[in-house]
Amino acid sequence: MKLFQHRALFLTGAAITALTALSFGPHLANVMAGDPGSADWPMWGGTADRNMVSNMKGAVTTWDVSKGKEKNVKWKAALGSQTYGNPVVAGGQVYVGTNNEAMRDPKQPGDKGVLMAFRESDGEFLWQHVTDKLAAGRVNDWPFQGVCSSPLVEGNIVYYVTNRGEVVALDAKGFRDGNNDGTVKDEKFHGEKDADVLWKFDMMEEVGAFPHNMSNSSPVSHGDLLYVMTANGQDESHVHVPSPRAPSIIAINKKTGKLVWEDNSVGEKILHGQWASPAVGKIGDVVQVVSPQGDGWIRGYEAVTGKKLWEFDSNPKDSVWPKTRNETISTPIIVDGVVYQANGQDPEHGEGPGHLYAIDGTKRGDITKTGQIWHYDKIRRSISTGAVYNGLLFYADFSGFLHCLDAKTGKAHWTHDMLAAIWGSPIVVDGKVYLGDEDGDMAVLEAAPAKKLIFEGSLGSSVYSTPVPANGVLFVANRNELYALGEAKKASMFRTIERILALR
Amino acid sequence: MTKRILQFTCTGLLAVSLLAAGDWNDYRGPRRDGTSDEKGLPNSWSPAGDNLAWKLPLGGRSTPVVHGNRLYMLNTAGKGATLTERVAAIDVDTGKLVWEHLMPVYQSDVPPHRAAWASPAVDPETGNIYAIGVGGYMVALNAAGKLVWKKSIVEEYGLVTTHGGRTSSPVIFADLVIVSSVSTGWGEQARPATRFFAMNKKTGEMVWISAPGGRPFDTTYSPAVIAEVNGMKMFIAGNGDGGMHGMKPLTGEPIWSYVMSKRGINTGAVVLGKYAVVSHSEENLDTSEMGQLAAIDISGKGPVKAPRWVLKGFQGGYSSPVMDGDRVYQVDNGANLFAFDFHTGKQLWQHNLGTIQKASPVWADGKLYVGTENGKFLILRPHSDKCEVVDEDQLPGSQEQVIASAAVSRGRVYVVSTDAIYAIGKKRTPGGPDPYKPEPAPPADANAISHVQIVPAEVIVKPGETVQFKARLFDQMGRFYKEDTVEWTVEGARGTVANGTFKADSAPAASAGVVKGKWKELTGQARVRVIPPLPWSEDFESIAPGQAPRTWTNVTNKYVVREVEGKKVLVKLADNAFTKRARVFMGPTTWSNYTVEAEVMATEKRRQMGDAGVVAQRYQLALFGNHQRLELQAWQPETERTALTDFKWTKDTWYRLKLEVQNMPDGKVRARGKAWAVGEPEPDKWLLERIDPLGNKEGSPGIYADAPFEVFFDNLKVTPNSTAGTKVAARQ
Repeated sequence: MKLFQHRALFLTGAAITALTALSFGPHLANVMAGDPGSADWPMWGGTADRNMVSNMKGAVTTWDVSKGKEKNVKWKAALGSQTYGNPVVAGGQVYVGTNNEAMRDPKQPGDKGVLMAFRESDGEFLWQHVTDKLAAGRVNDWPFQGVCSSPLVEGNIVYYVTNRGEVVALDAKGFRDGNNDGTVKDEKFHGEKDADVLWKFDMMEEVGAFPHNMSNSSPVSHGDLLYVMTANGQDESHVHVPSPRAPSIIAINKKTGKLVWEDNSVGEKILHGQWASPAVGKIGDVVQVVSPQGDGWIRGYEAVTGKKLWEFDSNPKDSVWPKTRNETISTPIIVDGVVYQANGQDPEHGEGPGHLYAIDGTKRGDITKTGQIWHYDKIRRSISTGAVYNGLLFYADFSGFLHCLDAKTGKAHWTHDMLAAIWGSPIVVDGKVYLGDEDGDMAVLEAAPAKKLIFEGSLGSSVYSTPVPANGVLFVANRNELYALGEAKKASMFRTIERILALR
Repeated sequence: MTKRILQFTCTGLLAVSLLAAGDWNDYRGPRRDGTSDEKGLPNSWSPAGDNLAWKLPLGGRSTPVVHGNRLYMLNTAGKGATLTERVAAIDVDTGKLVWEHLMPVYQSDVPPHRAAWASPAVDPETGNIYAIGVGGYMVALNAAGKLVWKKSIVEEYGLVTTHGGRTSSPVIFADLVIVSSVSTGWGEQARPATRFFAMNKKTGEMVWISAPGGRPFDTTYSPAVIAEVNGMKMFIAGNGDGGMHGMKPLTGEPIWSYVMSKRGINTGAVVLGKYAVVSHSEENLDTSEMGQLAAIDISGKGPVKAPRWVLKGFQGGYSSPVMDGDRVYQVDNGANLFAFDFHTGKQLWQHNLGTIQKASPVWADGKLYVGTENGKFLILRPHSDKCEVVDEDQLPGSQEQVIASAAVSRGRVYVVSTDAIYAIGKKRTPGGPDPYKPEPAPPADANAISHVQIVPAEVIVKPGETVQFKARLFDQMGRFYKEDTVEWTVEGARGTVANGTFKADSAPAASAGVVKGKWKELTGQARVRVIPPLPWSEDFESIAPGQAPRTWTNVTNKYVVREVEGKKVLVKLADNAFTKRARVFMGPTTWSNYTVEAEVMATEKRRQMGDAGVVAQRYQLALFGNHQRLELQAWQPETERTALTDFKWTKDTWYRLKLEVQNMPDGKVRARGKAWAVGEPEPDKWLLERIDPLGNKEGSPGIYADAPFEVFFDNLKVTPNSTAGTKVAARQ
């Protein structure tokens, strides 16, 4: 990655899904898409199938965040200087990964990865989990990129991947409940504003992962298992894979934090890194984990056993890395048993041709030919995640185009040029598509076969994340601020301004 | 006071501009500020041929330079195993390649598609061309393409192979050519820093080495500008430490610094009067907003306290600004072009060009010429309140990008894309190079001498060899006064010095130190290594635990001698993941036809075992632990030139590596290697052999380790090939 100036990437996609068909634990009962206006958004994509759709009502379609002219800003909170983690909302709290440039605790200075928890109702900062950077620097843990993983919240437990490649489980109540819960008892900081770690699984230590530039996977679960990608990748040479015996994907028991299964189908064939996040959904009769991997292939596993069911090459056979062959950074979505995914490259590599597929994961073995439902090659490199709504697939690319396709056929209805790079993902909320860009704008369009731009407004600085709908409010982070966009009540607005002033 | 300075500077600029009628000798043009005084430049063209003198399918990422009727560019030639960097000379009248000079890339972590990053520079006096590759190999060529001198900054000075290729372009000033890089050399230069290396442009002799900044966070490619403020010449460049620093160009002495970011600076400055406008796109020191554009007063010394004005949140990190009168133009990373008032920082207008920006704009003939990474090339006419698009062309290649900046010369604009070079403008261009006017050298103040420079600043000598040093005096303004006699002493290096003549001891022992020259209260010094000829052997028994050989580059704090089971060995430490991989070079860069052997051992933890190798003549033979392979490499990321074989080797067990490199009569180079467990007899056959058609014909011996956990070395031998056939005794 820019690596060159590499600015790494890592955004991921998003989505929600109708998990209805799956029998998840009771904690998921309230997070189905289509629960208008009352739902939390407890993970990347809202639900395990990651489809970026919500039926939440009342999302604002206009806003102004400029100083003194605030409109539909319920509150805002200061984040670090770079924010690639997408917000998740659960149990009255908002979580977002960022860096330590808005230092909340003078006892923990310097560059760190930071997961912050805010009160959902008013943006009050509650607690943070602060992680030291890896000593190796950018090769494993790019400076100032903070925490890029979006947490998964189930009940009172928050799971995410730190910048050190650790899968951690945190107590959503922190130390405020008066207890040091879990098996990890040696947290250095125990204050009200510090995180209570329940368990920790160090992927570098336990499975030999050598994360390229950043560990960023957003966890997803099924039953007792938690799935994450390891980020195992190349070293600075961008050729050599120093730890070829480390897996691409692991499943951990979410109660014990112990490894249950792993798969390494990639070995030394990693093109660069492995920064995708997995999705879970029922495909045919099997609950599968779908995992985009470092060789540009997408693989499907039986979720419970880790048995590999199928693999799909997302690149034409004559493509050549890095000009025409791509890696897979986007999160797959699983809608009605179909997997949708585009490929792309680290933003540091700039623009180039991309590929978007609808994949039939009921096929087995190498399904590159047999499992391709359609292939759309008018997309450019993408790191975004898709949204399927009313038979339409919305997918954005890094060159700044939003594509609206027929989900069944892959035929384009329209494209929209944001005129700036897109790192985040389009999300459909109550029939409208929201999409942010690197120039700091967010657009609202009709989620319909005919293109209609409803509004475009600034969010102050680059939007590398995806707006997240929860309980009537849109939560969206720009580089260094978290906004709760919604119809503000006067009193809370006033408090917000006071707080902002106090932070300055 | 301010007024007078401004007048002075303007006069200076005018004088310079008279010299700058046609040549574009430097990445950023005749004044190194991205502007040209030429008039009547193109207003429109098309890639299909309108107002296009010629197009040549030679692409690249670096900006071309133009001298007389020659255009020079650095790009890559060949494919796969024969891919390498080259300086290409193109006849601007015909658009044809006239000659090319291939530059080897070796012992580098830069991937092939990032090679050939920096621009060449042409010396207006001699017409010589200077180029530095991503791996730290540097050449001076004459106008006919013949080698004048070369330098391997990676082997001799511990250049850190550039992160992803970022390389600063050479700068010519007076008799000097100045390049820079992060480096970790030997002695006090083991401290990692962005270092500037100034060499005599005619001979390559090192004149000064300076590290004006602190800890580097990145390797960077900031284009340097040379300005004059209050009569003092300043070399101004961004640094890996997040600062912009001013130095005296003839001595490298730091003048001022403005540290503005927690990451390295890739942009250049523009200067008007006593103010410089600087820019970056990374973390600021004092706010969570990224990036800034600032005007700073550079007439003082030491840290610049507060900027004249600053715009936090402006993300201009790759493009360098240009100036038109009192307007500053800068393109942010998202390809938005902005105009600002130089004096107040007030934004005048903003204009979107695309989505990703790497190139810098060039201002000439009232227009801005700039390409975007999206493959557009634009001609823009900036006004006080808006930006007018005069011409906009999408280059035809499916993935054609513009990363290089434009060059302006004799009525034409030259654009290098990743696919081609376009000569926009008239079919014919008149004339040879601009007449040379030497850099004015105002007299020094004899009463204000403040610096003693000892040249050559760094040398390698053989035992018994002599080298003549000279002491040169400079005043506080950085002006050369004269050579003078000084009181000479030597420290560390084994030898004697008298009247500036250092004579190394004739005993065949390595040593390193400094030769000092004292003039009144001032002292200058040069660095000396005494390196004995081959054969060598090193069992580390004479080195104290915790130390490392003093004459090796890039060894300090990375490798130490330790006693293990009663024997001393060299350990690649694993306590600092930042230096997990480290190449060490041991001797002169001109040796050839020799064999390196060493015993190596690696530990294993958490599924990871380190890699250990030896280096001879720029080839590397290494055992890879996690891969259980033996590989013979010339440029690790360019895998087609690697020979490899599976090789089972066990943790915590000593193996012996043997690498022989031989120059062949046909100009090719043969490298061959073998490995075996210590205690077993040496196998008769070589396990790996590669005939390299490009051929690294010389280079320093070295060792290589990539050590997630500790890697050990012992019983190193370097022998000339004529005596290399004998088998060595097994480890006791």
